[in-house]
Order: sequence, then C-alpha cells, then structure tokens
Amino acid sequence: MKGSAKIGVWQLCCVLLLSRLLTTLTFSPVGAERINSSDYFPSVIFAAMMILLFSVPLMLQKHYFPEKDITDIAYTVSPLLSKASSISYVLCFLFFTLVAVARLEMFVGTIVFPDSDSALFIILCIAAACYAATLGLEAIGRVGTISLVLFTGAFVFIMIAMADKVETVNLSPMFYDGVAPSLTAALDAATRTVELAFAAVLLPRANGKVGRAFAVGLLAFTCFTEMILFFVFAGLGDFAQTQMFPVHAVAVLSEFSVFRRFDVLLTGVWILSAFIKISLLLYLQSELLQKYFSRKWNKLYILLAGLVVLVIQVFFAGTVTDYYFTTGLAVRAGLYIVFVVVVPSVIIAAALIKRKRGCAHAQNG
Amino acid sequence: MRKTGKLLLLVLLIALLLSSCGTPGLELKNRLIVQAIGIDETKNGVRVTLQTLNTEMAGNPNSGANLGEVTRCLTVEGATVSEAISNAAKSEGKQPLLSQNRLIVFGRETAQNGLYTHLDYFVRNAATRLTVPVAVSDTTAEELVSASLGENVLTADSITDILDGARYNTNIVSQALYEFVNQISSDLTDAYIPVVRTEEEEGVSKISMYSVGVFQDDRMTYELSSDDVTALMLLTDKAQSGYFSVDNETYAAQTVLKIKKTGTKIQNEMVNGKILFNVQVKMTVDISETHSETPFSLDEAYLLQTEALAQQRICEMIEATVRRCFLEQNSDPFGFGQRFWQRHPAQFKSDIVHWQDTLPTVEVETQADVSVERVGNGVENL
Repeated sequence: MKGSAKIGVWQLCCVLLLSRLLTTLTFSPVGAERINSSDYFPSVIFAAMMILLFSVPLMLQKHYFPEKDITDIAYTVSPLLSKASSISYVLCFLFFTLVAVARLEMFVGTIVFPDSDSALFIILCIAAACYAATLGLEAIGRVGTISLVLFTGAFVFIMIAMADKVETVNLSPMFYDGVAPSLTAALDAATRTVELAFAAVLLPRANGKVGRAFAVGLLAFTCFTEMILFFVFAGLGDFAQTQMFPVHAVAVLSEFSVFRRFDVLLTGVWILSAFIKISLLLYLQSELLQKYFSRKWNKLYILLAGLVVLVIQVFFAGTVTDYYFTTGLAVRAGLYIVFVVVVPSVIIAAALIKRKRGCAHAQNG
Repeated sequence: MRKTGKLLLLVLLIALLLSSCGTPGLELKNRLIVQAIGIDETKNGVRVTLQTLNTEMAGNPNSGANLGEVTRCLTVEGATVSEAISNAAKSEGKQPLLSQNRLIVFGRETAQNGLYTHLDYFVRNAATRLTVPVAVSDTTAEELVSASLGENVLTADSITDILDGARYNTNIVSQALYEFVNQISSDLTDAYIPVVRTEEEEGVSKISMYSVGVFQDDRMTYELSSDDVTALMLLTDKAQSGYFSVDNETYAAQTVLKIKKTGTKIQNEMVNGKILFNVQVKMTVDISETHSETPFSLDEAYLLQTEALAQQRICEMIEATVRRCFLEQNSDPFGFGQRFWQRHPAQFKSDIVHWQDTLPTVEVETQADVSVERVGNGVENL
C-alpha cells in the first residue's frame, strides 16, 4: 500500500472502535445462547482477553513488517499467495459489508419503517457509502472521529436519562450455571470483532504509536460494552431477552425531565455508524482490488462492490441475515480464527522464514 | 460542473429522504390515532376497544362546527389482538397508529383467564411504547375505555393521571408494559397491576383506582386492598410520597403523617435452614394534621410517641401483608424470591425447586425507623 496517504493512528482507532461499537449496539439475544444476565459482565472481560490473543498476528505484523499490509507480506513469499490472500480478504470484507447492510436493514425495517419497504433506504445508504468510500481513508477517518464523539455523547445522555430506571434486583446471580455460559458469550463477542481483519490491511496506513491506540481502543470497548449491558439488564431485566434490539429498547425507556424519545437520537447515531462502517468496508475492497488490477479504476471497484451488496441485499434479502442468526457459534468462530488468526500467522511465519533464509544466503554469498 | 452535479445529487437525496408522511395512507388524517386499547376475551377470540382521537375536532377545536367529541371509541373483534386491530382499518378505512397509545386495559375476566396470549402483540409491535401503563378494568375493558367523562375529556388521560399519582400516593400503583411483562414471565415474582373502575354519578362517569390485582403465572388470582398496596410499595422500594395516620391514644388524637422520603433495604440469610428476610424501612415524615377533641401542645413526648406509633404501624402493615400473600395466597409479589436467588444462588440451586412452595416457611422481620422532620406551621393542635 505504498504511495497511499496516511492517517493518524488515533483516527484509525476511532473508526475501528466505532465499527466495533456498532456491533455492540446491534447486540441481539436472538440466535445467541440464552444466558443469565449477570454472566454477560465477566464475558466482556473474557472477550477482551480473547481479542488480545487473536491480535497476536497483528502485533507480529507491526513488529516485523511495519510498512506492509498482510497482502504485501504475502507478496514477499509468493505473488500467487498475495493474489490468493487479497481475493480472500476482498470476499471476506464483502461478506462483512453484507452483514452490516443486512443488520441495518433489519433495524430500519423493524423499528424505523415497520410498515414500508426499506429497499429505498438501503439503495440511498449504499449510494452514499459508495460516494464516501471514493473520498478515501482520510475523509472516512475524519468523519469517523466526529461520529465517535457524537456516539459517545448520545450514550452518555441516554445513560443519564436511564439512571432512575436501573434496579440491581433485576440482575441474576453471577456464574449461576458455571463459567461456561460466560465463556461462550465471550467467544461470541470476540468473534464479532472483525475489525482485527480491517487492521491487518490498514495498519501500514497509520502514523503513530499503534500499541497505545490499540490498548486504549480495547479498554474503551470493554468499558462501553460493560456499561451498556449493565443498563440493558438492570433497566429492562429479562425483558431485554425478548427484544430484537435491547439497546434500542433502553433508549425508548430513557426519559429525563422534559427530554424524551432518545430512541430517535440512537436511531440517528446507529445509521451514521453503519454508514461509516459500510464506507470503510467498500474502501478496503477497492484498495485490495487495486493491487491486482489497474489503480485507475479504484472508483469503479467501489461502485462494483456496492452494486454486488445492493443486488444481494435487495434481491436475496434475508439470506445473509439468516446466515448471521442461524450459523452456530462453532462454525462462526472457526471461520473467524482461520481468517483473523491462522491465515495471517501462516503468511507472517512464511515471510519471516523466507527473510531469514534470504539473510543467510546473503551472508553465505 | 462537478459542483453542480453534487448539488443536484444532494437536492435529490433531500427530496427522497425528507418525504415524511408522503406515502399514501400514512398521512395523519388517514390514521386512527389510538389513545387507549381495551382488550376483552370473547368466545371466538378478543374484542378490542380503541379510544382514538377525533382528528377533525382536535385540529379545529374552535371552528364552531359540530365535529363531535374529542375522542371516538371503536370496538372491533377478531381471533387475535392483531387481527382485531387490523379489522379496525376495515371498518374505519384508516390505519391505526399505535405509537401514541397511552394505556392498555384488560377486562377483569380476561385477566382472570390469563394474559400471555394477549401480551405478545404488544411486545412484538415496534410501535408500542414499552413505558405504556397497563391496568385491569373492574368490569370490562370496553366499559372503562369507552367511559364518558364529560365533554372533551380523554379517558386515557384521566386514567394515566390517576396512575401517575403513584408518585405522591402510596395507595396507587403504576406498572409499565415492560415491568409487567418482566414480572409475569418470572418464576420467582408474581406480577401486579392496578384495577381501575368507573362509577356513575349523576349521569357522569368517574374513574378511580379500586385495588391492585396480583397475578400467579398469567392469571389474576387475588387483589390487594389499600394498606396492602402501601406495604407492597414499601417492600418494592417504590413508595415515594403519601399519607398515613396513627392513633395517639394518650392524647386522644389521630395524627396524619406525610411521607417526605422513604427507602427500604431488604437483606436475606439462611438461619438454621430457614430463610429469613430482614426488612428495614427508613422514613422521614412531616406532621400533616392532628385530629383531636381537646387541644394539646406538640411537645417532645408527643413527637416521640408519634414516631414510635408510626414505626409500629409500618411494621404491622408490612407483616400483615406479607402473611396474607405468603400464607393465604402462596404468592410473592415483592420479589423476595429474586433477592434470595441473587444473594444465595448455591442454596437456591440445592434447596429450592419451586419458590412458591417455600413461602410458608419464610420468615420476615421488619424494622422501621421513622423520624418526624417538621410539624407544619402550627405548634399545637386546634
């Protein structure tokens, strides 16, 4: 990715954190294993530990190849491996885009426009995301930072307004059925952290101390998720488990003096975050495709990716959503570990071995 | 040129996104703006009574034309709640708008037969607000929702105003939809909602809170009277303000106390295999009124006696209500089971199969700490 403009590491951190927090926002007990409410709290800590473990390849990448993304590293092993890894990452990001769009459509179709067809909204959203992606990473980074501030502000407001409805008696005892449910929920949360795959491509584009930004990002994710889950379960009780979007239900309950209808605020933040995530994913696909086809057509790649997502979402609506809700945790975790941990680890190991052999040859020569 | 293109695109987006209620049939004049929903079970399904806003009247209150009353009532039937509500569109030619609904009422018989089947629609429907209050009508929901309270008076408004009184009256209970669903689906806590009645006086209906209905599973099985409701409010730590009286026999006086602040702490423990709950009520009161035949000064002895009597009254009230619920009804609307499960999960897992079976052996100790803060403007009674 040489030649591309760089952004600050904190900007990158904001965009990736926003993308992950959107996943937290769309937390739905539907499809997930039903566990006691208090078991979710330790599960967030366990999830943070798992994320830390899953990010080992990313740390190795930053340490040994600070100026290369994962496909560039693969290129040092073999051009064919680089091509294969690029294509697999493009497909992977395309799938994540489909999931993000499907979830947005589900939210909009269930909550915002329950009586109308949300297709027009999706068309407009993808069109806007395509345009945003063409503006580049700097633009996405800037708007992502502002959006994260808005996102945090909206949630602080919602939490203050919800404070009087919180009743700790609504919570279950912790580890009532052992540690296993918490670990399952943790694995579920960790394997939804697809931002590690984004980072494998975007890392060389960031200026600054990556380690510090990563630590702050992970801490922010943990604190935010703990807080939101506390408000969800202490405020709603087991009613949260009956709701498709419990975080939205919390916003519906939030009232503070004359300030009401915070769900509208949440809806705005939700759509904005989804728009940024979709833009980032379209941009990533274009960046990877540029490496093996002409760089001139970068906007065309974004448009093509957007069209593919649109066609699948509009004509095969439900397929991706069904996949997301019905695929077992084991399958999802398996796929995640292959793409986020195994593939990058193998590429980095192979590149390191090749580099070592190259050095040895040079010394012998 | 490029700039113009972007501007045109922006205008197009605004035109598409800000189309508002442009979709035919979704304009306000084509909607039934529902204010209250009443549900009664029938032989073939349910009868739903909708109190809707008369939009023509609400939009032109001073037009002078005879546009009818501010609300209209519409009764429709169907096999299920959703079918009945959609039938309203058939008979009125307007689509119901539930997001403005302020009240859900169930008929007494319906509540006694079980509510699970009728609640699902409200949980699933995204337009229904989770904070909407739920109540039971002393007779039928139709009678309560369609009660005529005089010209331009909204029944839904009157009932919600009464239920809002829970903030300053310990005899009133208000339960939001999500709280009720939470309790009704709990194995440990029995749900409760207010029972509201209409009374006819000189041709005009009046609405009042009659009692609190307690549900076992999803059926309303018994009701709590005024004192029991106060105890329930104290035990669930929902009491905020209100009045209660004590008899000072030494002074031949009745003293009315106004609750200024109250908080309840409930702790539980296992003592010799028995479950013991320790209830501690801390309350600050003002003397609101003294009622006596002979005048006397509000001296320290009187104040101390009043505090002691208030403490005794609270303890007796709580213990009597707990006894009535635990022993006579085998029911726990206070959430004690939930608290025990939270505090002693291991014992709960090993010793308790069905919390309600344990209730007769549960012991409750109550302590009240009442302090009089102000005596009002008078220093002796009149």
